[in-house]
Amino acid sequence: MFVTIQAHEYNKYPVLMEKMFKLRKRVFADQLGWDVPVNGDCERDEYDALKPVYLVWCGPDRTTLYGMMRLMPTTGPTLLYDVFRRTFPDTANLVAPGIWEGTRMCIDEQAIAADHPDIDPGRAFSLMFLALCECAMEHGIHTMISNYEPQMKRIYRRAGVEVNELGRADGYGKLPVCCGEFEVSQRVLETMRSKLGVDMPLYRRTVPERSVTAEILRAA
Amino acid sequence: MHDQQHDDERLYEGIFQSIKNAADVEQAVQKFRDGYGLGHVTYHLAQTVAGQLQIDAPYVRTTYPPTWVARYLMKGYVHVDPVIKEGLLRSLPFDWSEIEPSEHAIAMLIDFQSHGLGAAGYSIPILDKIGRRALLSLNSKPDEANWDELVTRFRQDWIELAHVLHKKAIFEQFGDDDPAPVLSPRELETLYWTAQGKDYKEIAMIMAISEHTVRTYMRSARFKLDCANMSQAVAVAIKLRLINP
Repeated sequence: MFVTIQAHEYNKYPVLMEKMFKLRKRVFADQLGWDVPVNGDCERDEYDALKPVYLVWCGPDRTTLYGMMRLMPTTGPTLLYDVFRRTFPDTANLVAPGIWEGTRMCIDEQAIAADHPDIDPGRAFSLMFLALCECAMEHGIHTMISNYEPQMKRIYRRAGVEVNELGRADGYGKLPVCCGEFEVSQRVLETMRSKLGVDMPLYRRTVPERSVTAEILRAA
Repeated sequence: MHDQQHDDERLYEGIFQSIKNAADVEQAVQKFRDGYGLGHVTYHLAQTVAGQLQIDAPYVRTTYPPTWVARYLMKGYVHVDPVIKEGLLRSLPFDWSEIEPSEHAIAMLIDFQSHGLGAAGYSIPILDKIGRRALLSLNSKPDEANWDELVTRFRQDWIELAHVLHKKAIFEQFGDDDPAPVLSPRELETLYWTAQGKDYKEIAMIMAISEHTVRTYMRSARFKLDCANMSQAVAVAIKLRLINP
């Protein structure tokens, strides 16, 4: 299942949260060789202190982690601006309420291989992107900006992701890094669903049985 | 369908302008409410006071009736209000049907209902560049039957207008006028070509980039210049000498 974890829920999912930071250390520090702050076996930076949204792919009990991505509005402080504004001035300077940045996207290949042997890493990333597109649409986001490695472009193409590369640079890790903007729209969503053969929503907002609206209606 | 899109755009631009022209934020929230036919509109700027004193003196402007505001203050509902509590922690806009109230909050919600206020609501968290957080809450009329459609249809516009209100509130409270906005080379190019009378499709051809990318640069430029549409953004950019067409 694909869910968002926002600051009011961080304490509700401690296992998942810890696994997220551990996975990021394995992927970004160990595999990609990025210069990211590592503390023990966790990778966590200053932006994690700014109450970001985590889009998480997890098991139904919300303790097994398959993948994650961090989402932040460009109206607030962003990693892309702070880290890449000289390298990618056109992307890093984008600011609008409907433009969000996605960073630290990663998947746990072992966990996926164990529980979903039919899903290869390419498809896993594609499903993450489909869930991201659904989540963004649901919340009035029309554009995502993100950095990614060049080899992701093949996966994007196959999955129907519409990305416009706005810059590319060396020197951040073992591979060059690209920066681009992703269109979020009904059209892209439908293309992705048909290319990936997925016919139902992956992402769902959590709607509790007892909600503010329901309680007010009950009082009436 | 096309006509509705056009009407929605005009509505958005009209309300954008009346928020900016309003004498103050108090008047601006009324314009917002009346323009979209909502029950009520509330802007809440979170306040964290530096130092030892944990005084919470939030800046709030609302269209709620004075009787409810008085009740809310007297009962200390701000400490149990689940929309505020979660709204200042969340980042994504949310519907009130997503919020699970605590036991303490139930009494407040019953009280809210008895004041004749609508059950449905949509709240938009705001985060600005220096990390200030605010929340804009839109509340339905009591007899609103098409709330979900309304939200789906207008949420992108509402989210942008929330930031227009925020900029006004920050100015009203701190007198911070934004320093000259920093626009990227590509954002300036889209403004320049717009000033030459080109639309986004033509600009995409000229700049050899996708139409979506052009619109993204335009939206960003327009937001930074705090303008309702591209022609206004061009006028402001010329005035600030950002472009020289």
